[in-house]
Amino acid sequence: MRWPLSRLLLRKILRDMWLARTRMVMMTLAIALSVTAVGAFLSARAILGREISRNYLETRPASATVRVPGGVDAATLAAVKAQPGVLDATTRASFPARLKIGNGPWRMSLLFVSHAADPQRISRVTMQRGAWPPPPGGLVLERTALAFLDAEVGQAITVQVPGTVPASVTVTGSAHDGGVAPADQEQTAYAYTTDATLARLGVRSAPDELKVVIGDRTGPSGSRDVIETDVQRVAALLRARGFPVSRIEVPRPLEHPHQGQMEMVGFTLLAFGAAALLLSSVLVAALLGGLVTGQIRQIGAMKAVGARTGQILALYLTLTAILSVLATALALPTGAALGRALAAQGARLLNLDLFSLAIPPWAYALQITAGIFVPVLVALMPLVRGSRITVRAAIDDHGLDADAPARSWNGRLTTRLGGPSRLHTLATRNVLRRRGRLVLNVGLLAVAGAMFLTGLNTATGWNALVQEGTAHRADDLEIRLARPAPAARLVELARGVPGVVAAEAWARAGTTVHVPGRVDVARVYPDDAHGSFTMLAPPAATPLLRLPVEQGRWLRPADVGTVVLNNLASAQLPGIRIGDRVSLTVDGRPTTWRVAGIVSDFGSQATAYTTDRQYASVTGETGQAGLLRVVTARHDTGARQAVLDRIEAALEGDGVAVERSFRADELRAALDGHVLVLADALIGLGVVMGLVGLLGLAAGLVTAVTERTREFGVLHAIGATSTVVRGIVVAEGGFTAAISLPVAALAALPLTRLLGDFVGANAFRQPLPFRFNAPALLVWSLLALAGAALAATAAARRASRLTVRNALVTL
Amino acid sequence: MISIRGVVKSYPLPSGRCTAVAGIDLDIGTGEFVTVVGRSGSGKTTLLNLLAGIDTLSAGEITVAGTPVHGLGGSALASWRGRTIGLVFQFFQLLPTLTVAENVMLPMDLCGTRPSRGRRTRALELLDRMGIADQGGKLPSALSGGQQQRAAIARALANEPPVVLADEPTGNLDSATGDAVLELFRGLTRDGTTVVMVTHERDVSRFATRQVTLADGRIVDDRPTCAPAASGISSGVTVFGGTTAPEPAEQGRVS
Repeated sequence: MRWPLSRLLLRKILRDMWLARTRMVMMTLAIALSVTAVGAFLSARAILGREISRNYLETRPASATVRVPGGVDAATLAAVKAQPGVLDATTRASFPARLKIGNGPWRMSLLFVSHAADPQRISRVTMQRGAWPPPPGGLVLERTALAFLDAEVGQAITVQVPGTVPASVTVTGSAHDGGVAPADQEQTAYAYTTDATLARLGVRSAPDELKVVIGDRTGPSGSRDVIETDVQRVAALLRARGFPVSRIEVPRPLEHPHQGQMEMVGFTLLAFGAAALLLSSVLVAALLGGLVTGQIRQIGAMKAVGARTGQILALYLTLTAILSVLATALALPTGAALGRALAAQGARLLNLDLFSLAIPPWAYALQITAGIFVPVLVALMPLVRGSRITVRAAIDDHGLDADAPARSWNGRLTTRLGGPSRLHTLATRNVLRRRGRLVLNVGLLAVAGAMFLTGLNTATGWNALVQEGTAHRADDLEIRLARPAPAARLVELARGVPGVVAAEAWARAGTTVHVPGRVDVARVYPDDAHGSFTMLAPPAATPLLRLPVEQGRWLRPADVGTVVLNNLASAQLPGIRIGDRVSLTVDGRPTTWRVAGIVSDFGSQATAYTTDRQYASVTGETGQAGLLRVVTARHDTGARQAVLDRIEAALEGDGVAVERSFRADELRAALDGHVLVLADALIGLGVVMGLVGLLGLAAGLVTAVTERTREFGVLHAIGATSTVVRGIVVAEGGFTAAISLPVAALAALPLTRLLGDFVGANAFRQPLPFRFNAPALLVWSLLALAGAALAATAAARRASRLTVRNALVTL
Repeated sequence: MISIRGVVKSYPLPSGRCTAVAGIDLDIGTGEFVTVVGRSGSGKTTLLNLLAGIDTLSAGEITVAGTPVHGLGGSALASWRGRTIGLVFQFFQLLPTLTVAENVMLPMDLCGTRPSRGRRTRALELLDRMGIADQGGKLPSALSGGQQQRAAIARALANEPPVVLADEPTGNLDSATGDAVLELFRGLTRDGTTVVMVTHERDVSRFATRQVTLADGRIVDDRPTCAPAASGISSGVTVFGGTTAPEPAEQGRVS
């Protein structure tokens, strides 16, 4: 088929574009802005998605860790390696510890220990400074731990493993561990050393972690089922050889601990980007619709001299395509640059090395497709409508009479509406006169406003989640013990410390879901945090914890054999309902519990709560506690740390070993580290959406003025001054913006709820608290009104310059 | 050339149906210059629109140059119109972003009537015949009203249509320029072009060969005029050469 567009018509398009260049620039900018956003998020997501995998796989993560108290001998290790499905195996150990530099504060740490001769084929780190293995007495710090501890390579560092006295070792190097989050985010310094250094720290225990890689000839397995089946066989072999197996840990196969969150953030950002693109496409469609309306008589003339509908449609579609190709060409490099910058930022937050900043071709292809075809597709409808106009309708169009009939709803409303002056009456009625145009302008601005508000509301909800998560806990300090100690004695010791207002000692034990006939499988990652599952047993009436109940109820003093799960724990037991029985291995013993409730518990890992009395009756450990929670008189960081130091000294004096301890503000910092990224990104996106919306209003007003050229001519003809005409247009802009404000605010309500549920459910297994950010509404109102006034001024200038004759004879 | 049989055109209005053309029978031969006159609202423009296929019939039949117009639709109608009908409007309707020559080339482009290389030559030739060859490179807004109307006529003739339909072509022109336009139409008929022109403003009987008068959508009078023999298009050049059409500066620019 012959392309229906001749060079002559192409020339017409280009000249038309030049004449309407302000609008063309606005349309191009609107598309370019949103395609840039889409491109940036798409590129960043593609880069990070690839690099997070690459970083994690670079560590050669173990598919599973089998806990063998006492360790295994070399012959058994060889036998494990020979098992079908086992690609490799090694023995390791890890210990929670505390680190400090000089007289600085104690920081929580996790020590990963290997034999000096370990070939480092599994769970390995990449050395950045110094060499592996560190000499006896040497320690390698994860690179993000250096800044967290304010440490330098070559410096002496004090290390205390629970149950030992603090000892000084040297930081001999730094390494990158692509499997752990940055130290400041987790408030934990990861350190790597050998058994020789461990011995100097006073620890004399065999490595109790058997790390295995499960897979086949193609490489490590990505299937949890395969891994669990094969590793159960390994456990059976170990037992057969007389080695006890306490549990198996299988993290998500081949997935970085933060991969899920990263993907969710990427998806949310991309969804916003796509919404922005759709919004700008609607805007372009509206503007083109306006352009076509403005050229109705030209279309009529062309049709009168033989143009077919297809030719006219091709004309305007070519124009749209030129705009979108231009915009996409502008957006591609900026999107890529922004995407790379975003990816670099994301890499810092996820502790990743970006091996390559290459953006995959499909990301470009998707941007090009979206940038060119979405606007063309969205514009198709108004363009088809405009091109199909009959010659008669086109020739008869005088620009004054295309109004809704007086009997329609807005016709009646229009005639009733007034204003403080005739001028305002005219402006108000003008706005309402064209129902379609009004709905479009208000809609565009309202959608932009709603997205702006949703972004900011969600960011506020996110912060509220952190706020509430910490507010549910009344304690200032949490001290985890290396081994259980008598609860009464712990409380007595803590209360004897100056600055302590209240203290409670709770039983605490690691737990796993128990399936009879097999070794328990935990989902925890080697960092001992992500995917961990703990049982806590506070007194039933504890004043230190008030968790919002989502289903069922909280614990009661008279309960027998009941637990309350937090969201993350319920996620480890898919399909669990109130009243169901669950089997949990607590302290090495299988136990059965009835689920009484599910609570929201942001900031905690998966936890099953029970009362101290029930815990004692089920486990037989009466009066023993593994956790101390303390309320201090003053709540500033300094005071808390001082009290913590005194309590730890008192505990140490009494022979109680501390595993790790942290202040409430450290917990808050760790939580903030997890959420602020997305909150900031949402605010940024809200601003982009707002900009697109304001561009839309500006362009819409220019179109409205162009469409009504003849009407302004008439106004001039009957004596309206330029000031009057300007006043009318500016008032129209303000009125449109004012109508859009309540619509935006209302639309933001369900959108905030939707996004909060989605983001919360995916990131933390619980919806974000609903928050309406009132200052954001105020900011948006001011922005919209000021933007409307500004946009209207440009349009008004155009309207006021029209001469009577120009306006009346214009084609 | 044109055969109109029992043509009715009515429109729905909020106050009821309005009949613009209430049963018209008319035959127009090749080379006739017919003026359709009547008061405002008598149905003149509607009749012209029906002839051009711009408007659809409520009843009746119209055949132009052997083609039943009422049987055409969509692209076929557009193509037919482009080749068969030359339309001239009161407000010229030149495309503001195309030069005068390009405006004249447009119908050839749209209908693909001539090899693309010959289109500019043809356009300049037509403009020359209209006496405005030197204006071909300008945008319509740079031309006076009379010059624009001549360009519009040149455009109407681009595809050598057998029928030219003109709706108040002199309505926006001063009388001298208007006369020149009418003289031009008369010249066209000598080459066998049929011209139907709607007018209501003045007596044009000295140019036309026949005058049809409408009132309330019906023909109330149909008679030959006493127009002298057509002097041919070439004389148009002379006429336009001496025109006193106001210059752009006087009229203001048309954007």
